[in-house]
Amino acid sequence: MFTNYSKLKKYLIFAILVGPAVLLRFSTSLYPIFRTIYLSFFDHNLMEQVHRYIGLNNYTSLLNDQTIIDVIGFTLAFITISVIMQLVLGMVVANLLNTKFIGRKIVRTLNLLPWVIPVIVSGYVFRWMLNADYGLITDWVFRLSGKEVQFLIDSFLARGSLILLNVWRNTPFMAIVLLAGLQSIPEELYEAAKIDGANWFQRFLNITLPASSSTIVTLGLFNIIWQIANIDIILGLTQGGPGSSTTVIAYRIYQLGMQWFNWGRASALSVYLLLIVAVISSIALYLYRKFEFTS
Amino acid sequence: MFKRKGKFLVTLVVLAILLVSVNLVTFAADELVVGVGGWAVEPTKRALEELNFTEKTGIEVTVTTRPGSPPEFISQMTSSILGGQTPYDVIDLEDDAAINFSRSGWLVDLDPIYDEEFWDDWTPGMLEMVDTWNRYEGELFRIPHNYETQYFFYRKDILEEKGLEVPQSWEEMIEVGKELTTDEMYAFSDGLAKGGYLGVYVSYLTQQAGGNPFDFGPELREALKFIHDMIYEYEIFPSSALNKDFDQVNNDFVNDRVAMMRMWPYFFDYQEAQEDWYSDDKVGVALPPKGPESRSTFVASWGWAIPNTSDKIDAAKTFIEFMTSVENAPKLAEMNTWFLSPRHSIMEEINVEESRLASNLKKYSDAGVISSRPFHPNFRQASSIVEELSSAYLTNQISLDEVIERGQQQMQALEE
Repeated sequence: MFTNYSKLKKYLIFAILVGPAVLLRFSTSLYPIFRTIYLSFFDHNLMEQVHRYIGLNNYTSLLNDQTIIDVIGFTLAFITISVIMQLVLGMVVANLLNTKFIGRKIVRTLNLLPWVIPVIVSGYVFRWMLNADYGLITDWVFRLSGKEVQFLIDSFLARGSLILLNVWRNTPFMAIVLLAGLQSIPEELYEAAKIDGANWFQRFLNITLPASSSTIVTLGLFNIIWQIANIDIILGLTQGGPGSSTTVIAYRIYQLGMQWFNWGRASALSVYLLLIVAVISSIALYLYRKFEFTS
Repeated sequence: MFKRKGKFLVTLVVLAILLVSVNLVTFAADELVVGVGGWAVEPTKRALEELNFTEKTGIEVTVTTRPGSPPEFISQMTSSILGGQTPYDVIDLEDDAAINFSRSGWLVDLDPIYDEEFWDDWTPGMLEMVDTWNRYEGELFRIPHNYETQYFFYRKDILEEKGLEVPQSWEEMIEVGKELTTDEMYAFSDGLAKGGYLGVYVSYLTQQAGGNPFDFGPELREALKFIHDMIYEYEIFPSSALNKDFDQVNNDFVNDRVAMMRMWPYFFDYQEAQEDWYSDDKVGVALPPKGPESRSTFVASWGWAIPNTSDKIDAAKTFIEFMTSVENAPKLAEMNTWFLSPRHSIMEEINVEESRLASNLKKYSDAGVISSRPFHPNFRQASSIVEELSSAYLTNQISLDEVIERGQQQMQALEE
């Protein structure tokens, strides 16, 4: 009896301690997901005040919309190019910050500046800097090349500008995390490699890269998920234009839900996004386990 | 141990007191919050002061800035109203947001404020606008305080200097445009950025071509082709305008970079504020050049509305009644053009000849060029479709055929 009471007490304490966290997680994560899936099967529009079951219509109509197909295409390109560039440049910066030089601490702090500026502010600032008539960067390009470049009007350049701004903003964070990984690699490994005659590139390829692989994959996975939800930079810089050339799925969901009040379609597009995240995450987790095992 | 516990308890008590104080302060703030665009904050404050609103009604008012861009404002209000709250008790609403909020059932019916006599003060054209843009299912959800049409501004001095006449048609716009465009100045410009700017110019030209942009018919095709030709074939319209809002175009105009433009009436005040630049001989206002069908220019309006999540609905109604009464409307219009409309009481009181805006409004009205704004029950999304596809065409991403095909598909999906 005493043992049972003691066990019950333990369970009760466990429930009291864990319960709030579970409830919080359920209400902020699971409930919205299920609610979104549920709404995606309905014509649910605040403006029309309707809530009508329409099966898979939201899903099929989205796929019949060429603009949405273009948006999905650009989203994949935006994420892939951004993540790869951020990781590669992040690794370069991390290696530079890992070398010994005077003022290293200050440089490491300064490196983080682009990342601490609020995203929306970066977006607006660069919108002005890339302005076709008054932009600072536009002016530099004109002085150097004699050409009047319209960064935010040409769709190709607008996409490129958006990706580069995103890379500029996030690379410092990647660099700092990768730097932490680099600092955990024993110095002896490099010394032994040097004695064996390995040059810097061979040392990087055979020591630095394998030792950082799990950090890179973890960072890559998180970065992909962050980029999928990245809309404030678009809101600040291009507002999805010109046309819909810089619109990503998350931004379209924001437009459908918060500006056009079409929650049914917004939910269906969110479910597509959820599926994309699930597939990418599964691949990344597989790679993570593989690299973790190898390293 | 006791010390730590004591410190913890003290901190807790202090926090509790702070929390309660903040709440008390919040609840104590019994002022009516009126949200208006940044440009209208000072005129509204001044109007309330000069008309002694607080003395007469006993209601304290805070006039505050609401986001100017419709997408940003709609997002702010959506999350707030769905949470059962509102940052403003009275809002100065533009057409876009008014349609969204009224269809969502978020605005209070204002009909009980007014008796039938009140409407005798309104012209037939204004009443038509009220019915289309301010009523839903028989209820008045917004009461307009202005009636803004778009004017065709031109540089009188430059045209005179070059011996040119103001263009009277689209064809003449091209001819005159070629003569006017130089390395330093474009003949025409307009705000063609997405987000509520491009859609205005496209709608304006489509109406002149005889159609409604939301139909994605041949008239829209004609309008878009005309803009495209002005930009790329004749090079009389800057391509940089594709990323500009109205303020930037106004800035170009007063910096001698543009000779002619279509613009909303706030430019009257804007140009006069440029004291070093402005003179009466410099800027003229002409009737819009005629398109294939007409030379019409549509009206838009801003008006007062009350979110139904406000807890000061009665005070808000008093405010609106005060600001729109037959007695106060002419005084407000005299104070600032933001409150100008062709209501009989205003036109009788105001000196039309002295007011540049009022005289031009009368000129446009007499010429019969003022028309209703192209309407769609899902205005915000429909406008976004028009803007997105127009922008894609004008930046050479898709063809005109694709604009029409995709537009019709998207509008059909919207209407389903």
